[in-house]
Amino acid sequence: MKTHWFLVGAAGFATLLAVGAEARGDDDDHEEGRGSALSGVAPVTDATWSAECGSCHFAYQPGLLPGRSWEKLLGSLSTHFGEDAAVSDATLTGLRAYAAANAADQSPYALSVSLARASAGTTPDRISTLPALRREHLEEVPASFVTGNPEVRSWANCAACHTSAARGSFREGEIRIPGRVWTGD
Amino acid sequence: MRWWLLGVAFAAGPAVEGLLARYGAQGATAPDATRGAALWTREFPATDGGGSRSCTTCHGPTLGSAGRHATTGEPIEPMTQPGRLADAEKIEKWFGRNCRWTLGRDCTPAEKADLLLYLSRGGV
Repeated sequence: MKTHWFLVGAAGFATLLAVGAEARGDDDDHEEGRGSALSGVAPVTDATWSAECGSCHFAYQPGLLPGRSWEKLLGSLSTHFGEDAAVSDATLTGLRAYAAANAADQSPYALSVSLARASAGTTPDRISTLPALRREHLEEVPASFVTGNPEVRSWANCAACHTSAARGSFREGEIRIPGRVWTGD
Repeated sequence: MRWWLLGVAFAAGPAVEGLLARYGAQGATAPDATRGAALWTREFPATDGGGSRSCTTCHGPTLGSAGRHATTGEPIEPMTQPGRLADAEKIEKWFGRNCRWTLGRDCTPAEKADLLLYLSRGGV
């Protein structure tokens, strides 16, 4: 009897896995090179970057913006989106070097390549409303899901909904909006 | 070492002790946790025209509460979390940023000493 139920359970689990794999088939979107090892953006590997950026907001990967955007942001941290985010000179030097080496226009990761191309000729500084992401964020997602959602509150809170954001993956199949039912587009 | 340093050194650790000595050298020779507590909850008008703000706007109603960044919603660990006051330069960095955001100006050494004493005791 025990064996019997185990088999039913195993079959059910295998079905769930298959359905899950199917559901993820709609990936993604603006990313080229889907399925390659270099999808999404490179995860953050610099501890200072994670600590300094991540203490107030999602530690955006450098591969989300071109190098010129990071220069602009890191050069004006004392007036950072209405807040003082200044760091010491030594810390700033490290952050600049990490951003320069891993910016979207330097990265082979598919989402970085795509974002670098989309921002050519401009110097964007607000990642959540990058023109390339505007459709996904501002047109497809009701504000009540994000800024009006006490569990999310801000477009800067990437990882609240993008469950693999810290790993550099923002695929649609990975989106779970806290307290809301997201059915995709 | 002044007498009050002996009292805080036991619980507060070397970073807090060192900073209190630094603020003491800048004139803050009699820090007071009760004044620190009052400053912690005092509401200041926002310089950008938004609502009033205090330390508790982001840090939560008590020192043991988890907080949330007012703009981004990023979780903030409780102020009583062990290790929270272990790095003097980190404490100075956050005093700088957070006094300017909350009060609209830098805190004085006396204000920082009051706040630090209050925070290191986890209350008054």
